Amino acid sequence: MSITIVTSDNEQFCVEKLVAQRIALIEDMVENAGDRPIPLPNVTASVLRKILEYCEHHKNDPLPPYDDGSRSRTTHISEWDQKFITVDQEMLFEIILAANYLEMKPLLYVRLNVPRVQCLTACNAVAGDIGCKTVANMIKGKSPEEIRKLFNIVNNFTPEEEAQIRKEAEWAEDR
Amino acid sequence: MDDERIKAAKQLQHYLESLLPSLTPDTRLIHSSSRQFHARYEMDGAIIGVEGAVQQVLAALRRERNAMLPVSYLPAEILAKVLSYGTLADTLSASWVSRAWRVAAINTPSLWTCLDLEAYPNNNFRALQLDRCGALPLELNLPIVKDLRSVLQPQTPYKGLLSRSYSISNLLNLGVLEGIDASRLQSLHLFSDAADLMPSRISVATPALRHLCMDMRSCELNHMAISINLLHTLHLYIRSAKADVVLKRLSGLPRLQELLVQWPPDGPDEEPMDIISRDILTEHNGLQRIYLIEPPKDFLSRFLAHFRPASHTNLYIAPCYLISNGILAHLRHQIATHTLWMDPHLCSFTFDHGTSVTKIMDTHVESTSFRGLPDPVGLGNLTSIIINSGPPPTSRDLRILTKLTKFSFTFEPAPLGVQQSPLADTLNEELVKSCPHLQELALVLRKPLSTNFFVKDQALETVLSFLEAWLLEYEVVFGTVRISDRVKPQRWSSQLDVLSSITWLFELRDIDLASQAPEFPVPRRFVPQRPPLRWRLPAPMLAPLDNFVNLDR
Repeated sequence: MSITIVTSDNEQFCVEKLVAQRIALIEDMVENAGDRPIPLPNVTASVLRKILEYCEHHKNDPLPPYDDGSRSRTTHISEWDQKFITVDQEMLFEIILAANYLEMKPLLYVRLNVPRVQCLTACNAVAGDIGCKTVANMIKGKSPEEIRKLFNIVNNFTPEEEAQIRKEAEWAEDR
Repeated sequence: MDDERIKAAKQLQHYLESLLPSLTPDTRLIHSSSRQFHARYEMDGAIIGVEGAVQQVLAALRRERNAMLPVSYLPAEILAKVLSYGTLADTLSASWVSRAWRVAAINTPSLWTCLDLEAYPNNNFRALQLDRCGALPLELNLPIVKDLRSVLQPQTPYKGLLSRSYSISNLLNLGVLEGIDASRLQSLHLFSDAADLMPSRISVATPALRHLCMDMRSCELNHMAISINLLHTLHLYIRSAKADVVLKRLSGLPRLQELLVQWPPDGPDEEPMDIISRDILTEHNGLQRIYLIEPPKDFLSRFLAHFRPASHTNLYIAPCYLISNGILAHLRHQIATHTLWMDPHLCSFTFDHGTSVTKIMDTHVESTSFRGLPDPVGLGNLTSIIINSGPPPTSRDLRILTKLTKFSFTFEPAPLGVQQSPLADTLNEELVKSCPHLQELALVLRKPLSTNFFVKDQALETVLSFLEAWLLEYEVVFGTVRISDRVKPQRWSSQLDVLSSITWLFELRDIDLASQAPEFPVPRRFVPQRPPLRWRLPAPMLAPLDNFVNLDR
């Protein structure tokens, strides 16, 4: 059985129900929609296509390793995922954001009898792990100025904030 | 609306430009020197005021401009998640990038809990960090000093720091834990001889302790003054103690999942292990990761002879001195290997068993040099073999690998004066017959470092004749052939049509066999990663206000 999803830019996707549930649509949407297409107002077609590609590849993944929330988590990204996430910055941030949006409804998995582990693996992995790890790897060891250059950010601190930051930098570098 | 912001900015620009004429009048009145001094004083005040207002306006405009960037799609909580994958230095750096990044970093207490007093000894910095991490438990990395009290107090009561830490590293003297509530402590890294420095009358309750890293000198684990029976991770740096003593104690650690033992390089050989230790190793089935680093020959040979890893046990040994080639096969006797990655030059082997990995680095065999494949006993289930440096194994070496589906290897052109193809012993009719399931070949031609020129070799002809032999034997074209030939790719291109007609897929592309090694879990890290030493803040965008005033004094 399949479900039709309509993205924010009005493209229709015919998705297997199980896969659609795996990327966590709002529960009411699935229940109330009947045969009508389900709108995804926060996700564009190009982003949804990427996320579906990811879910398809990872649908049989085992439980992700236990995450104790500490900094010791690895930033390693597997070869397939690395290729998957090699996209321009705009797409990278959109994938992270969309996956984060889709992940926010964990109750869905329980009600629809979809194995919770699989659901969380697929969505968490996109939102939490790969996208964020990629950005983390991009900024690793970089100075503030290098990070600004990387993302085209301009320094927008007020003089007071600049003065405070200067102090913090002095303390941090005091050996 | 965006337009209104831009409109306002343009209006501001026009207004400032319209003021210019009145700021620079055509005629100047002559004043007395005292009046001039007074006017100049007022002008300084006016300049500072204008400059402050302009900077505030610029900061607001730049904030709006940054909000239009793709990176600004990320809300603060996701930015904080990104930073949680980095070090404290990364968080600090991010907090100096822009207002939005600073807000995300500063308002996430968990990003500031790694209190690295070794890397950041400044008292003000410590106070700043403690302020930002709120009441969260700390990951404390102590400075390597004997007297903690003198370094930390009076600004920071060190007992308070120790008792709110879930992780302490670089602890030089266990005695400082005396009288401290260590009930939260989950991870402890003892520096050097700390365990020996522990006064014997003291006992510290550490009910939550799961991870311990320490040097072993003369003390035994059962005399430890801290409770260790629920350990999940144990890292031991052997000094003069015998490994045997350590292994005997493992039976008292039923929940142990990770064991790392490191010996000093060129340390003395061990006494033979007794029977008790052998039994413990055999029965300790909960272990998921074992790392043996610089193990003495005698210890290793007994370990390999008696230890039977469970199907979930990952084993890492470096370097590995073997008495004979067959010992490796003995070790993996009961576990099937699906993928073997090896680098004969580095003598490194990684066996992927599906649920676990055996990684053996820098292997030396006493009797012979270790070339070619390891003893093929136990490799009958191998489906993939990846060889990162030449020469490739011969078809004779591979003949028992009847289930092989994927074969990747590196080869070098034949040396000067040798007319035979470097692949003749590998890709031939014998391989066609002994490995009928082969579907994928990946060949990497590497130019030898020793010479800049070599004669034309027959690699292309050998590959073609192998594929033709396959077609003749099975009456089907071969699966996938990938060639990485940085030396002369055009040699293959000229035969592209022929190659494509006798394979499902023929590709000429770069192949990195090193990156195809099965992943091995990294051991727990006890000491925080060091910040890179490193960068300075760039010069401010506008000259600081007080500089301007100073110029005129």
